Amino acid sequence: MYIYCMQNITARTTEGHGPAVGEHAPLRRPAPKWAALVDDRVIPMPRRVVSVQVIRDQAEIRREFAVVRKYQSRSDVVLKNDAEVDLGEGNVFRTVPAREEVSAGSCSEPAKLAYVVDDEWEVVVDPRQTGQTLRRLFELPPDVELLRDYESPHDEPIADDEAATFSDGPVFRTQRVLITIKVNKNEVKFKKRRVTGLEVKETAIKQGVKIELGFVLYRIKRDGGLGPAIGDSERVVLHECEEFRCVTPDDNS
Amino acid sequence: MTPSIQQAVEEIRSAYPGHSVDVEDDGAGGAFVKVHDLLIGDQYVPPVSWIAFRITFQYPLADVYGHYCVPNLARRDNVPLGQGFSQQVWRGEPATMMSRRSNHLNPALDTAAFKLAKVLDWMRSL
Repeated sequence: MYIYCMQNITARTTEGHGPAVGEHAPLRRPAPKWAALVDDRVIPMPRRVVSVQVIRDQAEIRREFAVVRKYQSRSDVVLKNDAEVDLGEGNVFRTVPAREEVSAGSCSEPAKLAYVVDDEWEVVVDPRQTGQTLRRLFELPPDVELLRDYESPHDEPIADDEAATFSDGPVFRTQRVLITIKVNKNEVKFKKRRVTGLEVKETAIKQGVKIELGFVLYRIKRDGGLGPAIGDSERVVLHECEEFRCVTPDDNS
Repeated sequence: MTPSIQQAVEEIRSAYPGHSVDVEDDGAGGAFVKVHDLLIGDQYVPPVSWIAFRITFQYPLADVYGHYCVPNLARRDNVPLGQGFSQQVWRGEPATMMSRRSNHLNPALDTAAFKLAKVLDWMRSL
């Protein structure tokens, strides 16, 4: 038997486009997509802060059931129908018969957080995930990249060491990577975007480019400029049609 | 200047945008080239210098050998410059010479612009 606590959520201002939280992130970035997990079903949400009624409508919750926010402990929280909830503070819900007796609880435990990748979900309690931890959580293969899903066509790749903080948006998607660059004017294809200098050379050699691992790698900038040499252990982010040059090393004479 | 050297000069201008490049015919089909205001590294006094070199008429079959910068180049930590540096003369003026040889020269890849890039990387790495 669960113990529920009634959550007294203060009504929020709903003028204009609603509260600023998560609606439009700073620097005019598009708003991230939001979702709620209701009775183990992913329900797309229009924004971070929504009324319980929106959740009820979208999840088609019948009148005789109440919405409960799930916490790590068994002290789940029953939400009033006229309340607003910040999905950034927890987006996992279940329904219980409305007539069920409700007891007060402390609600001191963290709320459960559902990350969504390609419509699959996993529940965590730590909001400070990274690209790497999400990749492991969802067992993503190495030839796909993880992107945060925005309310725009310009979704944002998340690097392994990059923060994937829950409050910035819990909805992600993946896409297969196939990037073609040029090494010494030869096309070389990559199945991942972030590689080391050594991987650039190894992949080029495997694809028939006449270089050696001891050669020195340079990226040619868009304006034709040359940056410093790229070290073997240095990480580079590849972009379609980029040009690299790999030349023989020098010696003291 | 041969077409190959004209092409090399164009590639140098393109590879170092924002840097003025002096080019003078060497009278033998090659060119004297001087690229200005290159960052050679904060470990040096001065940290910024011109670098000059000669592209001979045999280019690209011949290495671009002998790169020169300001005379009396020194390290900020007072450690001697070490192997590969020497005080020489560049076109009648004192200069510091960097002796870096491309012993595995590939004429299709090792252009004058990349040779300069490698010399700069080497200096910065010391």
